[in-house]
Amino acid sequence: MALEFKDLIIGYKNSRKSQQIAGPFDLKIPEKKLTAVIGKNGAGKTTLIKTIGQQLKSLNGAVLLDSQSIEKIPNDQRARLLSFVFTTTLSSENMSVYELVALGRYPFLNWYSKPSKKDAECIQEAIVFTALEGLENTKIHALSDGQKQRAFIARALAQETPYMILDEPMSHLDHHHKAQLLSLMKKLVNEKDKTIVYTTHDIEKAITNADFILALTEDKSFFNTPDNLIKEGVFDILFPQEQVYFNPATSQFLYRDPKSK
Amino acid sequence: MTRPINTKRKIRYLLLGVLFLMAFLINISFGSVEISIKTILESVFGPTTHNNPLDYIIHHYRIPKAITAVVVGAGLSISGLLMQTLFKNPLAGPYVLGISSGASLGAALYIMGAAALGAFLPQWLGNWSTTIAASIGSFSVLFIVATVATRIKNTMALLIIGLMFGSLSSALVSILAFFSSKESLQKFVFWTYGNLGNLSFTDIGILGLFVSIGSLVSILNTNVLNAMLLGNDYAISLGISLKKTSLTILIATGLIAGSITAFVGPIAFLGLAVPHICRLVWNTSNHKILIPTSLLMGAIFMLISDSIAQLPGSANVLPINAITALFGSPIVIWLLVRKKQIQL
Repeated sequence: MALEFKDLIIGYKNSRKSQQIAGPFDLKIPEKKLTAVIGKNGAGKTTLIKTIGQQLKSLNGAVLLDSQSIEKIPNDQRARLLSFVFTTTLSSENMSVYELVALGRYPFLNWYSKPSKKDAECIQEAIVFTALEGLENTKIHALSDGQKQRAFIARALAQETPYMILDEPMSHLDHHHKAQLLSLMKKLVNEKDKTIVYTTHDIEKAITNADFILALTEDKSFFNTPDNLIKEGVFDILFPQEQVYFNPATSQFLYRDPKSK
Repeated sequence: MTRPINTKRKIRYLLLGVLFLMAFLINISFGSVEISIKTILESVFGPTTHNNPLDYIIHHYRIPKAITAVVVGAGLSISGLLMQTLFKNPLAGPYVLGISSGASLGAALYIMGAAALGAFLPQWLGNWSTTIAASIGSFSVLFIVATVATRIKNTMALLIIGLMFGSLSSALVSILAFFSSKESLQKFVFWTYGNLGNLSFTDIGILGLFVSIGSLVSILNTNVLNAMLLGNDYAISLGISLKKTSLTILIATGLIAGSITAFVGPIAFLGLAVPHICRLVWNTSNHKILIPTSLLMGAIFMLISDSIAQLPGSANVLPINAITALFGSPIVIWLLVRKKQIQL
């Protein structure tokens, strides 16, 4: 098993023109590790996620799963390898937590098959792992943002894939729930052997928690452990220097005081 | 945890079943001549036919009409549900694709522009002519929309294209109406009122076949429809091919709504309203519940609407198209005000 990017260039295209957003990437996502994707707005974080998920086609190169281009892997097989948490809202939030999590079992169902004992076990396990017991029959619209995010992770978990890809899982969450979610992701890596890739704006938390970081800047991307990226000075060039600067001693981003100019 | 839900489910279907039987019997009993339930049961289950005029009315007029109401109500509701889920839009109904406008255009061309189209429809078709003209109209629109659908990724664009086809057809119908004679205009207006009472058992068989195929396709796609509620990104991530699914749903809806419009006229409203009633009453978005309840509820709704349209105790029959909305709108409004929120 391996998830790799080979000469991958991502962006949008239609019949007339293509617009490159980021790349080329040439890297292998480390197995059973937590990898954070960072970069400022518009750097291509979500575009990368959607290219992995096949919602977007790559402009050049490929996303490889086990050395095979992901475009060539049949839909149902891909759904058993990669699961996702997106930022999109549901067209119906009138489903219960249990129903939402149960939809993670879709790739294992035929039209006629009722959920098997195995399905029921997976769903239950995902609910317990994400601490959603007691909320099974609660409707999604009645959940708090933190619970909602956990329910979506439970849905992905029920899909039983070795890779989990999460787009901005921590937006809208307060510090308490961010911490909870980070420890949940780490638990998934350590206890369930998942390989997790997530995008985030919270670079400070990524530096202290993620095993690897993929940093996207306008013309280059950097991939390494947080410590090495600090040594390389990547965080210093992530944002315009005159407004935001990085303090390596505290791993903090600081805003420059406009008055001190 | 699962047991009480199962019992609840059984009670729900039992209730709907009883309601359905009652509505069916009442529908047969109401009309220009009121027939008692006892007479109906005797006539249907009795040892031999008594050869009285009531028997004739029951077997040749009332029962076919009641069966038509069941097929039409169930079919429109299920196609409305399919469109709302596919387009992720609570305002979608069986006719958003322009299918009914296409059928209207076909019927209008035949009824009001007979001189132009008459050559293509031979005389021996008789009663079937309007049906065939309407079918050609609705299936042409369906064909165009399905072709466009294979090229377009965005379902919202498809929705607007359907609406545009609707406007185009209505414009053409208006022009036809402007130039047509008083008699043919009246005939066309009557067609638009909808009529459940004109179908022979052969017609019902054909209509039933189309509606059954469409309903079967929906039932087979229960899991897919549920997954569609997650939105396109999630649907793709679960291995669903959006193009294939959209096309399947479009064709199923087209078969149902197209054939219904061709046979009984453009009966609106029901397809939009019944899925919402089911969602609100059972407080769910799960198609495992919504598909069977919409089928049953649609049939019940149509039977009741038709019973009201018969104006019990009078020889007049009101346009069914008006009654469905007159009877249904207050129910939907009441449910919405009470529940205070709408979700797909």
